Amino acid sequence: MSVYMPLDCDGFAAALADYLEGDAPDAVRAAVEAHAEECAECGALLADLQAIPVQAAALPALTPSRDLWSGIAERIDARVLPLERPAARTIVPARRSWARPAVAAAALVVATAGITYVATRARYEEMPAATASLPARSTAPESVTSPRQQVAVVTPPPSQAGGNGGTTMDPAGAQRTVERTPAVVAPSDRAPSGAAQLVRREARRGDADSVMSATEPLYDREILKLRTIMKSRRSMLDPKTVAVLEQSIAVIDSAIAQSRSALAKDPASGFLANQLNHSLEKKVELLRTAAMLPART
Amino acid sequence: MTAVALPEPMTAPTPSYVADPDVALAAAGDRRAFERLYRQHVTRVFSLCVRMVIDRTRAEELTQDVFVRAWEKLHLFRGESAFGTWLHRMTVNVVLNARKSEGRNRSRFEDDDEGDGVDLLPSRPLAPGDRMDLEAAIAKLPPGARRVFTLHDVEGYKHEEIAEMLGVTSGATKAQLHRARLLLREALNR
Repeated sequence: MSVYMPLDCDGFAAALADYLEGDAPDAVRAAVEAHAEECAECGALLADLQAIPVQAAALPALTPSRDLWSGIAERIDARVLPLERPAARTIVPARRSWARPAVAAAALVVATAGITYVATRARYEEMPAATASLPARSTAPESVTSPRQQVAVVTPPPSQAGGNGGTTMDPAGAQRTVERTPAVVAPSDRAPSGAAQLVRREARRGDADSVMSATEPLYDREILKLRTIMKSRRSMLDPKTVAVLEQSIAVIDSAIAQSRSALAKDPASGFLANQLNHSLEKKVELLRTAAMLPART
Repeated sequence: MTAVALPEPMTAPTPSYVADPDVALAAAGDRRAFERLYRQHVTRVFSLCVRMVIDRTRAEELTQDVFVRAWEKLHLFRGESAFGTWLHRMTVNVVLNARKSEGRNRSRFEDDDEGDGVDLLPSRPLAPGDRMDLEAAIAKLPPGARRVFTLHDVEGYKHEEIAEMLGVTSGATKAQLHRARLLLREALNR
């Protein structure tokens, strides 16, 4: 900025912004003040511009036209049953080319053994009581969970192991699955959903059918609640976002319908129950995300 | 016996986190405590929102967004500043992020007044009557000038802070502020 002193009105206007911000050198400050005293119009301009920040800082607080808390409470209530975070994915280095077939082979062995065990155990259960009541062989410890449980139980994350249940060793050294009182769900991201916890509890306890009959009403209630929130917030969201959400929900609904249909034909399938549970969990997760989305996004 | 003045015990400043038990309770998941915080701060948050975006309905939506976000992020609040300061900064971020989001959908022909060019208006003589109050005059400002004016003159942020929030230079915010004040003077004296 080049200012010729003493200032005329144009020079005053050019120096004014720096003067008001306190950025003008002393000589310029003095020249601005001198011109403001001489020129009534520029003096009035300076006085007005100095008064505006004072008035602005004293502006009263404004009040919303309605109580906004109910809308906030509705949205934060959507987090009462937080979801567990997916485990971090581990990337296997590509150069270990033997690893993939080995893992696949191991998985195949485990799957085959599991299916065989499920099938044979199911037959054992169908056997007359006299046969079934034979003493267990020493090679099959009583603490081992049932095959259905092996299929249906979702392994809790490490942080859960000490809280809601887990595996302990009894004095005899046998591994035993224990049931603990479910923790109060806090509004954090770390705990699994109430439905997921119930699935685990029920899965430890019994067959897949009872698992889903116990958990589906819980999911249905949660989904209904979240659907209501989403409906009320629909107009606040960007139409493109709403379209994407609806499309995703339709895909998940299709998966839920398929799982339900398959489960109706095979009610004892832990795998199908787990699939249905997973799809319902995904739907709750998506609706919850939608409920938490800021407006117009 | 003469009284000996004991030195003041050295105490660390009490963090606002500790000073306001509702903040700690809300951070631990107490919704009632969070509702009390909402009641305490809602007018200030709403005032900032409405002065930044003008549309009251939109400002109410943004106010709700701010408190939902605050609930989500409260566990990250360490009490290094007052809760109100933290919440206020969050309000600015929510409003500016919403502006960016909406800006993506806005026509390029809609002028957001984001340039740092200062279109100085000629000073007009004072005209009696038809005076506008300051609140209404702020609402008439171009968006860029209004945002800088609100953040600086109403909310008390420094140019460097505003420049960081808006992603512009402090020179640009100074220019916008001067422009805003000149426009306000014109509106108030019309």
